[in-house]
Amino acid sequence: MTPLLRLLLFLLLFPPLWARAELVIEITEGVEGALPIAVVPFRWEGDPTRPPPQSVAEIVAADLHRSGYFKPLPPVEMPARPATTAEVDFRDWRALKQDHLVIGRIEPNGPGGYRVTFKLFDVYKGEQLMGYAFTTTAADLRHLAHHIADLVYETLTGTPGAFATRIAYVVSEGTLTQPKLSLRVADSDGHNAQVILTSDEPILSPAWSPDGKKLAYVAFENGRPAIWIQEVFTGKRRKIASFKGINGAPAFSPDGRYLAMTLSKDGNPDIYVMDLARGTLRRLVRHWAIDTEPAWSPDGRHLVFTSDRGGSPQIYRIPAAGGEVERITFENSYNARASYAPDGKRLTFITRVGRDFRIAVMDLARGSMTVLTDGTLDESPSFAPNGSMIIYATRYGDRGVLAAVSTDGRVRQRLALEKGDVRDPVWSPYYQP
Amino acid sequence: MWELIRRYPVGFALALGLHLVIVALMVFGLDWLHPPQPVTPKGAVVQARLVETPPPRKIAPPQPPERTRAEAERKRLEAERKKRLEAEKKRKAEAEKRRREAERRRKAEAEKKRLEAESAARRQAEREAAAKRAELERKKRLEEKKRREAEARRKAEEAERKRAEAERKRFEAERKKRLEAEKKRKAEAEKRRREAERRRKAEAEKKRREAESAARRQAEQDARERDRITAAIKRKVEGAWIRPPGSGRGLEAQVRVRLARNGSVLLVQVIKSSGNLAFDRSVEAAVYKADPLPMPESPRLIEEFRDFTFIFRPSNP
Repeated sequence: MTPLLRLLLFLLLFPPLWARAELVIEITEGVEGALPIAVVPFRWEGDPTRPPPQSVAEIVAADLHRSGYFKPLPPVEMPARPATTAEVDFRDWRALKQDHLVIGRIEPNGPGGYRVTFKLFDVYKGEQLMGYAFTTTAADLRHLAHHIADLVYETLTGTPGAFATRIAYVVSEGTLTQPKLSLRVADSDGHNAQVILTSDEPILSPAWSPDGKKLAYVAFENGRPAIWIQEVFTGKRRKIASFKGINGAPAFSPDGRYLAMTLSKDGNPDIYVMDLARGTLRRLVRHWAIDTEPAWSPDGRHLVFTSDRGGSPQIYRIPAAGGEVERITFENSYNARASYAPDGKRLTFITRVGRDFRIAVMDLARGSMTVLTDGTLDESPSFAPNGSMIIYATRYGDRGVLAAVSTDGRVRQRLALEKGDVRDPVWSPYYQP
Repeated sequence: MWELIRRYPVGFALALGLHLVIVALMVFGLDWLHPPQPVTPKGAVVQARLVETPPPRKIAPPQPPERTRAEAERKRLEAERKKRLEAEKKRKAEAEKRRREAERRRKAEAEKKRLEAESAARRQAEREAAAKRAELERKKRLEEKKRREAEARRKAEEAERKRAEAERKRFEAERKKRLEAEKKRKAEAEKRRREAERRRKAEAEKKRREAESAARRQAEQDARERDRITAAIKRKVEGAWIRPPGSGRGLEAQVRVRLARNGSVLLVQVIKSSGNLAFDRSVEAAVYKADPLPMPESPRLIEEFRDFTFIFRPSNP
């Protein structure tokens, strides 16, 4: 072996420092999990005997937890309760391995008014990521808390939050002989529910207009169903469709100009589209089978619906202008009540697994389906407007309750319990003032 | 022809003159070739000759008395006629004689001129021939001279060449000799140098081998420590890393870290984002949470570990 060869071999085996590529360490293992965050209860700086009606920090923490993305530190484990930057000692929170820290203060702001200040910190970098001050009223304190949760969520994940949005659902109370039904709108956490319609006959299928200001629904009058559109804030409503037979499953188009619905006025139930400004009706699907539960794609170019034309209920898709009907679901013998994710890339629907009905998500590009829930009779799934969560109704004991699941299925949570049987929840779009 | 005229203009002129004379003679001198013809005397001819030489007039003798005078007259007339005839005859003979004499003189003159012309032409020809000969002679001499000169030059050159050749050979021989000497000297120097080199190399090789083996031991030691520290860092960071829900396979982020000598984290910088903000944040947080990171003991390696890159690339779904 020549000296040169030997040198080369030596260099190959033991490269000198200067010839070595910069050190690279690859990290492949890591726990997937909710990100630790400490939301310190906001300090009340007013009269200690008359604290604010809501615990803002608690609402923020609950929202973040429900998203499945965050794991808020229970207040009892907190080593300190700073309310100002000067009071923060990041070592406290590093010791508890908290990635982020939220602190805040609430001050009185005139009669019934509040001034809320909050800040978000990166604990390890020791720097403030965000800080805001708001003024609000007692009635809006809860909404403000959701808004703060949205800001934190967006800052840390890059995706807008959807906590300050609302859900609509139907609650059935009373007895078989004396039924009492109501259409309600609540915060996304199920709190702050408001009744916008009551009836002693069935109320079904609420659907939000794209601006979040109106609801379409089916209400029975004297045993006959009709489709109504009601303004959420004023309560003003008008009857849209009351044809012979079924009038059901209304769905606003993304531009709000059309309402898709199921009608059986021409025989068996089919999908129709109504031009809301003109009141004209167009039959979109014509088939001898039952076609129902239409839902628009976010770009307004397609509708999905449920049909039993294949022998069992499955999801189908049709161009909004009409045309070829395409079957979407093939797994399981029952798939129904589909709706699109805001990105248009996923569908959520009810699927039957064995004897149970559960919530599934399908990736439309891949055609792969994931079952997210493990209930026995889960129904009426709909995406949050940021696509991160799905709200649905599930059985708890002998009644239906609201539940939310993160779209990866990791976090499932029942929302605030209402009395009565909760059905047909639907998540609002972002409110457009 | 023109060439001739140009070259011998005098000779040509003479020859031409001679020819012209001969032709003139042939034309104008025919009469002397013909036999003399009796010429009917005519007044004009006679007159012309008479002008020149008039015969002396004879004075008639005094006449006898009358009786006798007729006779005498008759006799005198007779005598006079006879005398006139005689005179006429004599005059004619003399004229003829003069004419012949003139003719003879003219011919002689012509002959003389012809001879003179011929002689002139001959002399001219001779002169020309002589000139030509002289010219030829001159040229010949010239050529001879040139030839001799060329010969002399050739000989001189030949001599010079031979001399140069000899010089060159001599020089070459000297050069060779010098080269030979130089070569020899160099070879000796080279030999000495090689020897020195060999000794030096052997020494260096020995040192190098020693250094190499030391370096190898060092490198092996370093590699072991590097692996140990890398694994320790990896363990610590992985233990601290909580990936955001749903951010599983397919995401990858790279962060650059700068550490103090004791391993405490000075700077974490995402140099290649996963495109997922929450994932990137979790990666940064993981490094900070693992602070301080394990550090090697060897000062050489510490520098290496003070600035490096993490690639976060989850393998589990």
